[in-house]
Amino acid sequence: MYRDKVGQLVASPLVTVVDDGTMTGEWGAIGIDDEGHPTQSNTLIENGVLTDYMWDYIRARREGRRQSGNGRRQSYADLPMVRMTNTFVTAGKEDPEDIIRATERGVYVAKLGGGQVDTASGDFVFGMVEAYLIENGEITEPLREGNLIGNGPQVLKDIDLLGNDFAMGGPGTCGKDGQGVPVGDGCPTLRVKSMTIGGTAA
Amino acid sequence: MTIGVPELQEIADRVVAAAKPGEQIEAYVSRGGETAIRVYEGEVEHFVSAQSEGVGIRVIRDGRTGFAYAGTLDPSAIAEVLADARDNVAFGTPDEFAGLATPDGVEQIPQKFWDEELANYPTPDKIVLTKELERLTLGMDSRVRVEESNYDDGWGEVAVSTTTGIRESGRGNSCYVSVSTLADDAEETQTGFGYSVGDSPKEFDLTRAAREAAERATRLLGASKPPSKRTTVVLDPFVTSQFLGVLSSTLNGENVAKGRSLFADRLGDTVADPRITLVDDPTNPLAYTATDIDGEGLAARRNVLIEGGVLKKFVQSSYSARRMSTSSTGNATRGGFASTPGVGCLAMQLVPGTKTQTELIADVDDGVLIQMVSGLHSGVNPISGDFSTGASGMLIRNGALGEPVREFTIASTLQKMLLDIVAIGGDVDWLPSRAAGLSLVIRDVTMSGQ
Repeated sequence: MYRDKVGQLVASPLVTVVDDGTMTGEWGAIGIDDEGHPTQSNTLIENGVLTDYMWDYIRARREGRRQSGNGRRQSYADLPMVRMTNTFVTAGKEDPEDIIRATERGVYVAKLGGGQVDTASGDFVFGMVEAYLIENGEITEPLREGNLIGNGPQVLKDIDLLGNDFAMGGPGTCGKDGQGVPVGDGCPTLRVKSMTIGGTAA
Repeated sequence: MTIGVPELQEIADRVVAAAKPGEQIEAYVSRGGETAIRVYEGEVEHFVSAQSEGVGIRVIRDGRTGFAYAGTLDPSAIAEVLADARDNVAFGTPDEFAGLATPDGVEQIPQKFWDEELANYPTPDKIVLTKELERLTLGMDSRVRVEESNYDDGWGEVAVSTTTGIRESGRGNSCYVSVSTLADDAEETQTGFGYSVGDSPKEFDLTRAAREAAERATRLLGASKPPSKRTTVVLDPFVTSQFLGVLSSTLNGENVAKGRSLFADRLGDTVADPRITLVDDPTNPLAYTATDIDGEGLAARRNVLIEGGVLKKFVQSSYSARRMSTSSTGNATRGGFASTPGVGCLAMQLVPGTKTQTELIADVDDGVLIQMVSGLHSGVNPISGDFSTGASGMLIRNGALGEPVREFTIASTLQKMLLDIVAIGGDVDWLPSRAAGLSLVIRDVTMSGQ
């Protein structure tokens, strides 16, 4: 999906995305990756522009790039793959209260559950565990469980307000090809212009 | 079991023979191996050959359970595992229902699980098959790229012995090929997959796997978001299988006993359209997960869970059955020597109707054929029954397929969906899953798109 797109605008200019395995104390911190290479902070998207990918040894060598310390494996019984560590969207400038106030009609998602992502198309689905309706700039009633569905690259482009309240999320496990590795993620309060919400009250 | 494994049975028997008065002991001994081959652009990219073995021991004393396991069959390690399991009993919480299964007189139905041809199949020939699958897939459509072509096989031997009189052992092997695809069109990339399973590689249908992988990736190119409305959905057999998988947790005796099923206290009630009869039948050799014994060593059996729309039975292990004052239905599940038994459906199947998918679609004026769902396990709550999942497929207009649609959700509740089933296909597909697939038509589902 992001093949051959380094240097191109792939997200809203507000968005900077970093993968950083050196964040001591975070769930995805690894120090040294599972191929023996030191981990580091890698900026993947800077002000909306794709700057780099993550690399393990074999793929970096094949493409003539430098390893980025992202070769990870679940255990001795698994082969290394390119995997994230702590991935996050850096803080913006807005007060989160102002973001809600600036939203006439929307949904405030307080907690997402599990989900699924198609990495080729970027289509994703996440369950909303806790969500509320926003009406005329105020959080009003809670919503029952439903799904949030969208396309990752499109959502990155549709981010129009970014809060100054950056926080890392809870400990996570990223599963890929049957291998699970501990990861961290983080972001500030952010607003996406448009997304589809599934439920029975359409 | 059909073919015993005396060597492992003796190991299990020796552990059980060490039981002291007042102790129940179960020894679960297994060993197995697997081969995994991945081909990319005509070359082997990844080759894994692995073996493992181990023992898991449960000790129950005064209602307290202790469990320990080790990944070795070395006799001194097994003695240590038994000592650890006994030690762990002291940390267990007393549970009046704790205990092992007791032979219940139900006869096993013999099936064939071991294929000698697969056991002797040469590795170079497995690689040839994997390359052939990649080549066939690329030949299906010029827009299709192959992400990876895979061959996987595995074999396993198991023995279980208990102080309560269970003494079973057996072995089995299986293999499958799979291919994942990408299809490109202008700015858009879609994914697909195809697979084939068989008792031996001779039974693979590589052409079907290649065709399905190419079709799944290409059929969504150019798909749009459908409008939001209430509509009729036709579930593809693959999707129905996943739907049954979600339903299975509501029919699980342990969930019922713990108040985590929406069907608790509803035995004897009409919970589905009268056309619906749902069975769990691991004795059917066509089922991918067919077995002759369950995870505790009791004979596997056919259980009718919903009959003519009426809820008849929950699946039980010996433990959940004791909690609910009933008998085990032979539905203990087990993840291997490193885990204790759970409860679950083993091989679900809806009793099929007679129509083909095309005939079912011809009866739908306005609806959508659901070919893929995603996020099913995050959007479904088996306690409340709330159901919401991402989906893609094709619109149906006046009984015929229309344009492809994606990036929308379908939602209802499990309770309502079962009652809203309006037709059941005859197109049974024995998928590599715990539930067989067939086409299913459900009315009044909320579609959220634009």
